[in-house]
Amino acid sequence: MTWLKFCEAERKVWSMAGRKNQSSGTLKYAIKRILMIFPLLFMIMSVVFIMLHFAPGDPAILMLGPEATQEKILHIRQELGLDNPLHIQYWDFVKKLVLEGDLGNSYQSGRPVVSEIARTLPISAQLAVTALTISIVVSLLIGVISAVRQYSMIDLFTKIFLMIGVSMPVFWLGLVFIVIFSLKLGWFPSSGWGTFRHLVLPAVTLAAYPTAALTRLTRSSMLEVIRQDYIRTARSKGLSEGATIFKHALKNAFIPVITMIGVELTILIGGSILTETVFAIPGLGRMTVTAVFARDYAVIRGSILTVATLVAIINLMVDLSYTLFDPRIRY
Amino acid sequence: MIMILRRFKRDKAAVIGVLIVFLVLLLAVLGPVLSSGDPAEQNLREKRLGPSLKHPFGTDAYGRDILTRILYGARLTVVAGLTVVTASMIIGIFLGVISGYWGGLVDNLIMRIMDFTLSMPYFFLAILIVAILGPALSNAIIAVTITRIPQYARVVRSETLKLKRAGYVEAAMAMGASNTRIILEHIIPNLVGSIIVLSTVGIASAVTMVAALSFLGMGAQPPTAEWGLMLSEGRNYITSDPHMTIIPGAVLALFVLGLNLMGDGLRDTLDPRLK
Repeated sequence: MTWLKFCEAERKVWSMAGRKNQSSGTLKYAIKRILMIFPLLFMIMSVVFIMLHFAPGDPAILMLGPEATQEKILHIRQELGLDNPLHIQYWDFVKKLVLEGDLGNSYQSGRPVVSEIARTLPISAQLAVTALTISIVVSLLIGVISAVRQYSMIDLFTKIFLMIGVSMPVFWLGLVFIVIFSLKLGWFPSSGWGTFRHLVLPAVTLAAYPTAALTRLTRSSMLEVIRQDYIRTARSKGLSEGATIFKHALKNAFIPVITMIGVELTILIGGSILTETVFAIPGLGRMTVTAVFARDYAVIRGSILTVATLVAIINLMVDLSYTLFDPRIRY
Repeated sequence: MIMILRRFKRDKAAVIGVLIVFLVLLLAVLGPVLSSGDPAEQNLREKRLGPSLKHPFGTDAYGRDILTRILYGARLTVVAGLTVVTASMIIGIFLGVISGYWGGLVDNLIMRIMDFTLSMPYFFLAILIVAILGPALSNAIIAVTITRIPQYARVVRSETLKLKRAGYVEAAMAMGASNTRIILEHIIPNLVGSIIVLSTVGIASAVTMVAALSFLGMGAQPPTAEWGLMLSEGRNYITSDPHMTIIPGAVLALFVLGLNLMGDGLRDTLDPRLK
C-alpha cells in the first residue's frame, strides 16, 4: 500500500467515525477554534508592541513629567529596561504577560494596567450588554411585524426609522438626547455612572445603530423565509398565525441575524468609545481616549489587547452558536 | 446604462439621497461664493447668538458665523470622504487582485494582515493609528483609510478568484496575454459594480468616522471649521446654547443619510440579487 492510499483509507475511517458521532466533530471544531485564538492574539500583541515602540515620546519622560531630573529619568529607563534592544524588551513583555498576567504600569497613574482594565471593563460591558439587549429585543419585534405586514404603514415607518437610525452619528445622537431628556425634560442625568438612570440614555444611544441594522436584517430574512413552502404547509394545516411566525419562520430567519449580532457587538465596542466620551462614563473606551492624549502606551496596549481578545471570543461564540439554532450545520 | 438609470429613477428614496448629496457637494464648491464671511473671523461682541437673520445658524463661542463654518466644513468633509474612499479603494483593489490572482504565499500573507485589521473594531484600530501618528486631520484620514482597506481587499479577492476561472480569462491566458493585461482588461472592469456599491456606502461611514475622530480631538485641530470639531467645541456650551452642537451634527447626519440612501439605491439597481 502506498502512502497516499494509506492516507485515503485513514481519512475514510475518520469520516465514518465522524458520521457516527457528529457531536464530537463539533467539539473538535470548538477546541481547534479556541486554540487558534492564541496565535491570533500573539500576532496582534506583537504588532501592537512593535508599532507603539516606534511611536514618538519617551515613556520615562512621559511618566515623570517634563521637569524630571536626568538622574531620575536614567533610573526609570533602567527599571523599565528601555535601554535594552527591542527584542529583549519584547521578550520581557511577553514573559511578564504570560507568566504573571502583568501588562506593566500606567505611565499616568502608576497603577498596574491590569487593575485599570479590571476597573473600567465591567462598566463598558454593562453598557454594551444593555445596548445589545435593547437592540435585539426591539429589532426582532419590529423586524417581524414589518415583514409580516409588508407594504403597510408600519412597514413604511420602519423603513424610514431604519434609514435615519443607520445614518445618525452616535456622538451627535447622544448630545441630542442630553439636550432633550436631561436639559429640557430633566428625566435622566446627562453624565456620570452608577445608577439605573445613568444607564438609560447611553444605552439607548449606543443601541440605535445596531437596532437599525439588525431590524433591517430580521425584516429581509423574515421576508425570504415567509415565502417558503413549509410556511405555507404550516398555515394550511391550520396552525395559528402566531405559531407559524414564531415557531417556524423566526427560528429559520434567525440564523443570519446571529452572525450580524456578533458583527454588531464589535461595532458596539467601537461605538462605546464615543458614547462613553459624550456621557462621561468611566469605561474602557474613555480610558483609551485619555491614554491616547497622554501618550500612555502601556494603557493603550492593554486596552487594545483586551478588545482584540473580546472580539475573538465573540466571533468564536457566533460560529459555535450556529449549531444550536440549525442542527443541519455541523463542523 | 439607460436601463440602470431608469430603474434608479423609480427608486424615490435613492433620488432624494442623490439630491441631498448634490446639495452638499454644491455647497462645498460654492461655499466661499455663497457666504461673505471668513470662517475664522472672530467677533467677540456677537458670540453665542441664537439663529437670526444676520446669522441664520447663530454664532459660536468666538462669535464666528456657524453657517459660514458649516459651508467651509462641507469642503473638508467631502474631501476627507473622497480621499479615504479613493485611497482605500486603490490599495484594496491592488492587494485583493494580487492575492486572488497569484494565490499561495503572497495571498496568505496579505490575508493574514487583513485579518489583523479586522480583528479589532474599526474605531479602536483608527484610534490606535492616531495614537502613533499624532492627532491631525491628515492622520485621521490615514487611519480611517487603513481601516477600510480590508473590505475592498476581501471582496476583490473573492471576485478575482471567481473571474480567474471564467472562460474568457482562461482564453486570454491560453492566448498568452500577459498577467498585467489580463488583470487590467479582463478582471478589473468586471469588479466595477461591486466596487461602486462598496464605495458609496463606504463614503458614509468614512465621513462619520473622520468626524468622530475630530470630535474626540484626534482629527482636525482648532480653529479649523470641521463639523465634528464644531460639535465638540459646542459641547461646552450645551446647557445654554444647544444650537452650537445640534446644527453641525444635523448637517452631518443629513449628509450621511443622503449618502446611505444613494448607496442603497445603487446597490439595488446594480445588484438586484441583494435586495
